[in-house]
Amino acid sequence: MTVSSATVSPSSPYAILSVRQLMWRRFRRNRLAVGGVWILLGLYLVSAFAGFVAPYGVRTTHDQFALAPPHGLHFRDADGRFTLRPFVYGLESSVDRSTFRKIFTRVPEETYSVRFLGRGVEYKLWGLIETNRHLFTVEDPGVIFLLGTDRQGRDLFSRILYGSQVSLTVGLLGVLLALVLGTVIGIVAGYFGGLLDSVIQRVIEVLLSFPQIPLWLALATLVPPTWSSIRVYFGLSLVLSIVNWGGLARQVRGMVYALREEDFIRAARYTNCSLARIVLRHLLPNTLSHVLVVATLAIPQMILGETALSFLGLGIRPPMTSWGLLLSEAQHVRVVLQQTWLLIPSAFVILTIICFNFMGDGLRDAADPFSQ
Amino acid sequence: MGAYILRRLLTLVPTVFLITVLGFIIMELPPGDYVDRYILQQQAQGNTGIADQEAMLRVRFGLDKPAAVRFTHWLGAFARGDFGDSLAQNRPVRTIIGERLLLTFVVSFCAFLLSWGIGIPLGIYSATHQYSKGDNFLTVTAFLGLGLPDFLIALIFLVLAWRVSGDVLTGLFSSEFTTASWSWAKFQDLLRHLWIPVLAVILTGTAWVMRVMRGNLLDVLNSNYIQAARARGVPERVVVWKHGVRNALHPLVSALGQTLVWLVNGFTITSIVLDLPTIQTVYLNATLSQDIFLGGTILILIGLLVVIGTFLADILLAWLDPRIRFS
Amino acid sequence: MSAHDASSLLSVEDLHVHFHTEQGTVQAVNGVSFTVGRGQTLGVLGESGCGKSVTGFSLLRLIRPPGRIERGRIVYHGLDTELDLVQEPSRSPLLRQVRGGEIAMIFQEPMTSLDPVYTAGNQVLEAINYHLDVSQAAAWDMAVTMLGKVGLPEPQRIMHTYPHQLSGGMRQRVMIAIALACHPQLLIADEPTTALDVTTEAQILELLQELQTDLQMAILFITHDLGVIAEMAQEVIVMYLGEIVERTDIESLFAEPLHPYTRALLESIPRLGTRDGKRLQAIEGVVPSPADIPLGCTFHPRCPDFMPGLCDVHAPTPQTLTDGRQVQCFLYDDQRPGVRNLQS
Repeated sequence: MTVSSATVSPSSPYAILSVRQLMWRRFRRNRLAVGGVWILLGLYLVSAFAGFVAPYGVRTTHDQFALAPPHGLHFRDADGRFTLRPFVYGLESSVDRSTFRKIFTRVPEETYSVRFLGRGVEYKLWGLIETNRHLFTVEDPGVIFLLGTDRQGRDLFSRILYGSQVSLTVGLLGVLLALVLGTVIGIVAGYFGGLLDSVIQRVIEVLLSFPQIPLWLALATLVPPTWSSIRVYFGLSLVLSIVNWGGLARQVRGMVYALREEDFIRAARYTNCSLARIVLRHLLPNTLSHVLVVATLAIPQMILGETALSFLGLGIRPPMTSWGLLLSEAQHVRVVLQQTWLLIPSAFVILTIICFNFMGDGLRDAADPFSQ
Repeated sequence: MGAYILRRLLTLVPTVFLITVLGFIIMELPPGDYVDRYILQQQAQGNTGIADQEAMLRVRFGLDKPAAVRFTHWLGAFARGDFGDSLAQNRPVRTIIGERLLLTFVVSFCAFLLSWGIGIPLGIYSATHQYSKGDNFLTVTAFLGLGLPDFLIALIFLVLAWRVSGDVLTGLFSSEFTTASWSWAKFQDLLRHLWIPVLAVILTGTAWVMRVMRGNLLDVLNSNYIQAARARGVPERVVVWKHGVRNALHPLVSALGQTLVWLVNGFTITSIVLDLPTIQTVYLNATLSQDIFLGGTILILIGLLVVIGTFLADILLAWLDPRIRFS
Repeated sequence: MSAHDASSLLSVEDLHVHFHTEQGTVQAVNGVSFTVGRGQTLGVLGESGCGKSVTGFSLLRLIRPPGRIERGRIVYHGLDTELDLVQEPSRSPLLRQVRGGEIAMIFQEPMTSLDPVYTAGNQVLEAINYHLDVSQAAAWDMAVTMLGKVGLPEPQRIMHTYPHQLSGGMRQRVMIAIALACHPQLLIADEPTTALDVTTEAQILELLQELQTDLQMAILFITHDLGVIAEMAQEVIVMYLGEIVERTDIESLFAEPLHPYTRALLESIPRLGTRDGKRLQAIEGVVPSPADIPLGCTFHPRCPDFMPGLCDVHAPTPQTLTDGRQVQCFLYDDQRPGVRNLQS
């Protein structure tokens, strides 16, 4: 007795958008998310060319300039004349006679102009191209420490750039590993069900209810101290992912469990489709977009995890560096109070985390294109 | 209700078991066993002859038995409250943990109460004033709070406090009060030190509670029974508080365990940076020195704490929600 | 539009309700005018998405952002003075008094329309306490009486039960008890039986009719079900894409539907006893998105009587016919040249 209406006629003038197009449209409208993506792209680009952008190498030390505060670029000289080419003042270190502390004073007579694309410390771009060109250097014997130096007189700005190569990628690698682990375990649990499923579910529950940081700490101590820094790097991303695959696996399991009873999966089963084909052709593509959203939201957690572990001395080890390792210099309260600039790497951590959070939130909203 | 609690208690058993297994595995993972480390320790103290007794020691500690047997022995001792001895400190783990437990609880509980007490009202405001200037401001602040690692916030507060007062407010007491007995002055001194770690940790916690509350309340305020309550002439204030907030609290209560997780997480690094006498500092030192019984025990206790917290949250939820209570 | 004689209880004039979404403005209700007479039942008929529910919600000012009443008047004549509900501030005490006290509403989803954490009694009492100045004991008695009146067994026990312990039909009875607890003059029933099974549906409809005679109230009955409307309403307005396309008495609706849309609706009803092997007639196409309303007559892309050059260019205006029925279609507009005139 109810009013019936037919299906859409083929001549319908209304554009039909695919789910992916709808997602993209929604994501683009989220200004915070798009802004986050642009900033992240910038960070990754600079990180890829760290050797070029950094005026000094990761291990270049300046013994006489240990713990020098940041000193900036100047466009106006002592007489107030404007110069297009920025310059830095010379630095002189001396000991304060009353406090016996090392202090740095600017030498107004000495000015060194900044040279662009000049030659400096040798480095290998991507481990391949050997060069000594830098985006900017300063005339000898002048020094340029945009963000100050650490206890061994190493330029913090350069070290932050080199550190970004670790900090920005270890999270991605960790998420990638967690993605593989989570997807495989999730599909197995969801597709086969039964006792295996219940056991996996319990394990995931325990993992998810457990505070990550103590668990990370416990696992990080297992990385042997004899390992090379590159192996530590991979070991660390493995540690990060071992604790974090639970959320992804749960997501995948839920979706596979629901999909298993869908007609198209049944049809595939009844037509003697191989298991591999069902999983690869039918299950994976259908869970992909949600899994990617969850993965994106996990990246900032992993970055924070790396920072925390390296900060506590259980993560990245020298000669490699990362933002967390740089911050570990600021671990002693006295240091922080006197050399506040050593906290600058945290600004980069925060910026990255917030951008990833914005992007993840944008993706999450966009993944549900029919909401609102 | 009684049946519900009983059923819920039963589901606790496999979870608790898994946590102890996890703890045991982590304690077993480092290369070498207790005897190896014991011998190293004794040798460092000049007891050179100890190496000859290696096999005997293994038998004495039961380390010659297969892992499953050792696990049952260890679990039995654990259940009786015998957590073994700390190698680094040469004292029972139980004593070491006992010394720190009260302060850890006090600090964590303060942080918990404050973050819920501030987060919920802010979340309600945000949801009832969606897209207003205040809501937008809170949203941005929450994003900052969630993006900032707690230990950094603590460091920033420390620098600020130093700039203002000239005091370095690490630890929980100034040096003159550390060993003094409790007095009003000591209590005041505690408060002076306590605000930095508590504020640092609750900034993240408050932001989280606020966002969850905002989302929940927005969902609830869009539900049919809210429109139905408005349609029968219930004043908006009552609609929001009696029907909206009451229902929006449920998901938050069920996430109580989650709150404990970030409290533990947050205080781990903050404690280390600020040198607080909490269990987390002991834990870090234990993991760094591979003091497995101490580290493992704390890890398991943390896991159990979260599980018990989640259990209590479920009971509370059942008490709040008739759909669970009468099912 | 229509004259406000003494018998009219609520008159809606040129109501426009728009939803401002990210995708653009959706004109959910677009210039709707009608009158509900005292003690009468007015049916509102239409497919899903035609704006009939939005119309119902706007009468109680329950439209939530991004929705907004853009213009028009909703005049309530039940009080001593005329009251334009559109002009009332959203939190005014007068508006609250009207909600539940003068105009009450029951909803499509009885399963989700009761707050799950409070007892049925609590929610009936809430309605009474905010409108009538009575003691707690008196309010309790009134609530129990009302629950009994809507045919719930053991009303004392129902007072203490939680919504999840009741069936869908029982919940809808509780909703009706809440709605009628303060003896409103108008009940807005928004598809109250759609979510219920057929037997329960019949019982609820019968109950509503009984209570209507008993309490002397008017009902605005919103439905997409022609069978239900035949049973309930004396007068019917047919809505399509936020506009009223036809207003008619119930007999003529079935005997001689005027608008092509109304005719199509009636043809889509399966009839018993017709064995000519004809396929069941469905209306071609779907209701276009309200965000994308066609030019001219909004029904023209689906209309069997579509007149090119007229219907897709000009918007028809409501025509009142000699028998008092109203229809918004060029077929009945003698002002347009070249239009067949059914009135002669």
